[in-house]
Amino acid sequence: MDTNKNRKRVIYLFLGFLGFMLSCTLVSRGIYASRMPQIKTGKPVMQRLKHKLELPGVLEKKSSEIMSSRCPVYGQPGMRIEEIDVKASDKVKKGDVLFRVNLEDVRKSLRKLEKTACEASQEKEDIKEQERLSDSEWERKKIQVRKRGQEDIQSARQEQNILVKRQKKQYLQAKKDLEKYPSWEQYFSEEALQSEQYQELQREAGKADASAEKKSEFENFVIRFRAATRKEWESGQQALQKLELEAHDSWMEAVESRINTLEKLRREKKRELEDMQRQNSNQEKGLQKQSEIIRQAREEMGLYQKLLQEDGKVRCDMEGTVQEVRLGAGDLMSEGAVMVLTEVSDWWQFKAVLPAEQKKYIDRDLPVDLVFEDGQMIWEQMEIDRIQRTKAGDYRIVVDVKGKLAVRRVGGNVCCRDIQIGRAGIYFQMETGNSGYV
Amino acid sequence: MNHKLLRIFLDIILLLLAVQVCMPVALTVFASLKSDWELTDSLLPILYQTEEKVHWRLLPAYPTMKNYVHLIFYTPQFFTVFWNSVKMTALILLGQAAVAVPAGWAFARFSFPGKKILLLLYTVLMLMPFQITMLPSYLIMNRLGLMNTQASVIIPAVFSTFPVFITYRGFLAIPVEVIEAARVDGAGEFTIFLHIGIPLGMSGILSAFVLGFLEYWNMMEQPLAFIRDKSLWPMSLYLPEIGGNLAGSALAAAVVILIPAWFVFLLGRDYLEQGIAVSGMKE
Repeated sequence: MDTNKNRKRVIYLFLGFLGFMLSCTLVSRGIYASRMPQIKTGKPVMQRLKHKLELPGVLEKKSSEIMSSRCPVYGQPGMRIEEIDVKASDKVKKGDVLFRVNLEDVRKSLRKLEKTACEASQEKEDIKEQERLSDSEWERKKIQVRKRGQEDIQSARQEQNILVKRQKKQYLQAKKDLEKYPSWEQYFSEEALQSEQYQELQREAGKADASAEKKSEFENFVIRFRAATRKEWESGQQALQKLELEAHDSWMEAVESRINTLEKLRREKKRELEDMQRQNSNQEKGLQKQSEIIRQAREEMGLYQKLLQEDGKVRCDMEGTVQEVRLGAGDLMSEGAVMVLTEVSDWWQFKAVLPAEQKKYIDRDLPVDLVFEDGQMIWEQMEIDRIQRTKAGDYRIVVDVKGKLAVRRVGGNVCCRDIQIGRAGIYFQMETGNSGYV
Repeated sequence: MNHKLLRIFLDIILLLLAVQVCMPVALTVFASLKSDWELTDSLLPILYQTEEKVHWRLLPAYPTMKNYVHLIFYTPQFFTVFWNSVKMTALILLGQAAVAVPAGWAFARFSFPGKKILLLLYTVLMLMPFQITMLPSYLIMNRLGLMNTQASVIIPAVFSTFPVFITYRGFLAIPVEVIEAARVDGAGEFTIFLHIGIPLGMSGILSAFVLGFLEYWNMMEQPLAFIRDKSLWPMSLYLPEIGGNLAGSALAAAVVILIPAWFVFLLGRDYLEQGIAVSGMKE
């Protein structure tokens, strides 16, 4: 009974375990599914695509409030402002007086510039004069240096030639002495003739009744005499050979020394000439510098003279708005701007209406052509600057026309030729109302 | 006194052996309660192949159920393989019940030509390891078009020879007189099998089931050889796939895998003992 009871208990526990695992399976899968991203699918619908789009529109002047750029107005440093004629947010046009400068300061600056120009001019003349003088001087000097150089080279050459010749002569002498040196037989014969002992022994041994002893003595003497004489002869020959070699080496050294000496001398003379030329070019640089100073001074003088003519008035050279006035009456002008203007320029733009269903073919920066007067005037390679949504639900394409001459409001067409079949080319709608792109 | 000392000594030896056998299970259970950092700290030399020694504490310093929570609530793939194991094991055992039990009864109670040879063949097949029969099984499953399906594991297991042998031994223990008495009473062969053979041979049948469960609950070679798709794998193949960074989940999964086997053993322990005893009895 107990066994059956236990068994039943185990069975229930096992079934309970399986039930627990089942419930954990469902919970785990639920948690996993909730963490996965939602993916919905639908059937794609094919749409007809247009490769070219042409929309009617109008070219008109753009509002000038949108585009503007800052234009700082600089004065002449060191001059005093007499009066400021405008204030911030004033609208100005070309020719309006912005401020006036002190005429005395203008004249002072002008005089200073004139003086600078004069001095520079004088300096330039001096340099030119110097150049003229130095040109002829330089020529003369050049000829002098060249001549001197040639003379030096010539005398050096002669000197070296003499040395070489001397060495050569010594060598030839040594060679001759060596050639003249007697051969061994000759030398021995001469020595033998000169040796009294040799002669005597020879006489003794040469007699008819000479004893064997005498003959043997003579033979021994001859052997010893030959050996000694041979030594002398060889040492004499060696000495002469040595002298010949030394003479030859000296001769070769003299030749090499001649070459090196002349080469060195030539280089020295060449360097001398080059140094002279360098001095000449420095003078040319000085001329250029003075010319530049004169040019700058004249440029500034032109500005000041203009100011004088205008009675110190600085006028505006563009249409715009005064954004900021940085200095006031009585202030000294420095390197910074006196005031800042905002430039306003006329800007034309072409506007066309884009139906909503065609919006997906069009992107900003898409290249378009503007066609006017039935194709007689075409502005190519313009770009769509903006696509704005209208209240009616459609879109408006805006093409800013820059760098083109436009004088009046005129109608035309905007042509989008190179429409890419991109991500908006095929779309599909699902029952939930969402749409997707391929 | 000597007898008592000997008894104590034997008890100690047996206790040590028992501890040795139980130690891996205890380590697994306690390790499944360790936190990630504790496991990483212990297993660092193994995971990152450094030259330090592994130091392992039996009891966790800061026990936590986080591994079980992660396994149960955030690892749906574990349940996929769990139910794969349950499905495959249940189908195999049901198949064996339908095939091996009648086969065992036939071997035990009927005489037919070639019975001894067939029995010998069954015994030889039972002793053969899977690696020998793997290739012919693969070819057959491939020809049948069952590759990469769970049927490629279930069908060969259903026709396994081991439960036939166990049930045969169990049915052999039924006295012949009981069967003859039933026959005299007019019972047909199927009635005898159903009402006498199965109840009296239950020990053999259940022991075959228990052993079969333990074998197929832990099988690795067959699914590894025949199933490529990991979503069809049983739990025994899932555990080695868990990376070292999820050691805690792997240990918790190992503990969960033990539970059904433990239940089955508790249920069928008596029958197992009887079955083993019966299979050793001589007529």
